[in-house]
Amino acid sequence: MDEILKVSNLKTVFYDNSREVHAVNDVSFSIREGETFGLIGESGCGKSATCRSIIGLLKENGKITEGEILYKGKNLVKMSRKELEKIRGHEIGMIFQEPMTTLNPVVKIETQITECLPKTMSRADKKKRAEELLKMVGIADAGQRLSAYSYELSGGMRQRVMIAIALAAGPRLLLADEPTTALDVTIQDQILKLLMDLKQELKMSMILVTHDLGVASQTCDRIAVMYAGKIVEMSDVHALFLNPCHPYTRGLLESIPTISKKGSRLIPIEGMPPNLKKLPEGCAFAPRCRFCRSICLQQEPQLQEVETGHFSRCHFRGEPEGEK
Amino acid sequence: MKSEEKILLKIEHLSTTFPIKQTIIEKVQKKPEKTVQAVSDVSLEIHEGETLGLVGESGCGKSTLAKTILHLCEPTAGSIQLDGVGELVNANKPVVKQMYKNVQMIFQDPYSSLNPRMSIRKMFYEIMAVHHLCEKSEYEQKTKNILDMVGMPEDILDRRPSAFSGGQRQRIGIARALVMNPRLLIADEPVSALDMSIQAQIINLLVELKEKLNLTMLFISHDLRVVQYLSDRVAVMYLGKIVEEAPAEELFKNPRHPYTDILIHAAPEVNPEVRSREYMIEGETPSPIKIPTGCRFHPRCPYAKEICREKEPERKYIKEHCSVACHFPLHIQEI
Repeated sequence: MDEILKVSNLKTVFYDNSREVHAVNDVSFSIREGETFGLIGESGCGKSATCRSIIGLLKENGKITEGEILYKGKNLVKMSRKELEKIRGHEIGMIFQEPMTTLNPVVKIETQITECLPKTMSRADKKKRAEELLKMVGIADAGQRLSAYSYELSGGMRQRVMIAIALAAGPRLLLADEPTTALDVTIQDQILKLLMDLKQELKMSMILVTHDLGVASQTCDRIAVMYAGKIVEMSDVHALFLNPCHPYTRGLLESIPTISKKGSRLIPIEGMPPNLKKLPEGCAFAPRCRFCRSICLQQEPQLQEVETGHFSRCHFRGEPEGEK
Repeated sequence: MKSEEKILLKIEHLSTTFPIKQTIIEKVQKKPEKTVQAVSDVSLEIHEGETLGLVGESGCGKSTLAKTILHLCEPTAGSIQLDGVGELVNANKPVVKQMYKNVQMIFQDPYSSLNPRMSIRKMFYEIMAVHHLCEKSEYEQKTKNILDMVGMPEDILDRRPSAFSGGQRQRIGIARALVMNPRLLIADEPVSALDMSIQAQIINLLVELKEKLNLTMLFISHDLRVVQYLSDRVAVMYLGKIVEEAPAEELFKNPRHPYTDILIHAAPEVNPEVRSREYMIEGETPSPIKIPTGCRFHPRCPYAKEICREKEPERKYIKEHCSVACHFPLHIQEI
């Protein structure tokens, strides 16, 4: 399979009152044609910032300082605004987390979809295409819904409209930033199913950003776990969930409450995520790590391949021997 | 859970409705005022020392039920009996004050539920002063004890909420509820605003406190995994009604109501080897303004028959502690 996107050594910095926040710190990964790649982690770990760096939608105080993002061999970081606009929305589409705030409440759904269609299309064609798109994302009586405003729709419907907008120009790569976080479980189930079906039908690749391990395990082919701006573990979905190597991934999996853990205590990850403005020396996870050794506090581990296609950023492959 | 256990809170046929604001045109035309029935004919019992989980999707009325118990909304019908205090519906002021000494709440959003302009000290002293909990000289020691119980250092008294992270704020929120030494703790989605690793810390804290203080808890959540882990009994709500109630293990093993069954299977499985995708629910929750006729769930139910469209099913006990409101409950042969 060909690589559609290759991100290497990406560094994104946000400037907050002249202090630098390293939101994305040396992130490298690649996505193959037709693959669903999951980015998981807790809030502030840099998963959304990675996504926004790819599509060039960082806030004014954010900047890509190093690295390259190759989309079909072309470097998006070096591109001019005009060139980027040909790719953004056309080749790469994005679905945002909050369908309530990302749709314009004073513009009709039809206008919001047709905006994304090629300018050469006639008005009647655009309308027809918009209706098709709404049908494709499973909205009943699509024709009538075209003239609706976003506030007239429910949360699930709005997310469907968002997907229709993202798909309008027929993107090859879809970035979905927490597409179901604001929705109820039954609606989440519907939206995820829809996304997977559409991905298959339109032969797209997808990056799915989520904090929900369940969502990731059910939809992704490969997953990268991020912590404090870095990828700490990356592998295919089965190896990651069945044989997690990094203590952070293991901690996340252990802290999920399940029926079999009932009656016994959960094993939480102690402490809090580090402040990105002053990262600790050595491994960023060391202060919270159960297996922390002196080397972890001094030297930063590199992303190592523990088995084919399974990478972990830890000094130890499994549990280190001996006491702390 | 044993039947001889003391009932701490008994809710009978409780309904809460909210009026819908009319437009000027509707007022001029003198159209009848419309209402939303957020909680409709709910009966529940909470026994001393147990955790009752209340599950449902957004808008099903679970938070309104909690607010009604706490006198933050006025019910339109029904009764709420609190052991040792009495009837809470239409109660007078002294009774309500007495109720607050027994029932306390933990809120969902730790960022908006703590007053940003009040220091931790002021926040706790105020509660103790209002309810005359102890002598002024004991305030500081009592606050420190409570904070220690929820795992917060005692030198934080003069800081304000902005100095703390989400998980720490939630700990302070729990401490604030515990100052009153309540018999019933109502936790409304206490972990849904928190990150995964912090979530487990707070869940552990709740389990620990429950054991240590023999707390009774009404745990409201939309996350079935958390409810499953924490609760002794679970009640499932849909559009203002309790559709099923059963001990936690029983409910997750043999869900009787089709909605419960779908809800359990809609939660994505963490193990990638288990692909649970054969269950799909059609449609979305109807608006509580236009409640469907007959069974409220019938437009989305995969098993709906003619009778479901016409007649609303009553809540029936199929065995001890297991009740379901469905004409055709599932897994009935396994009894």
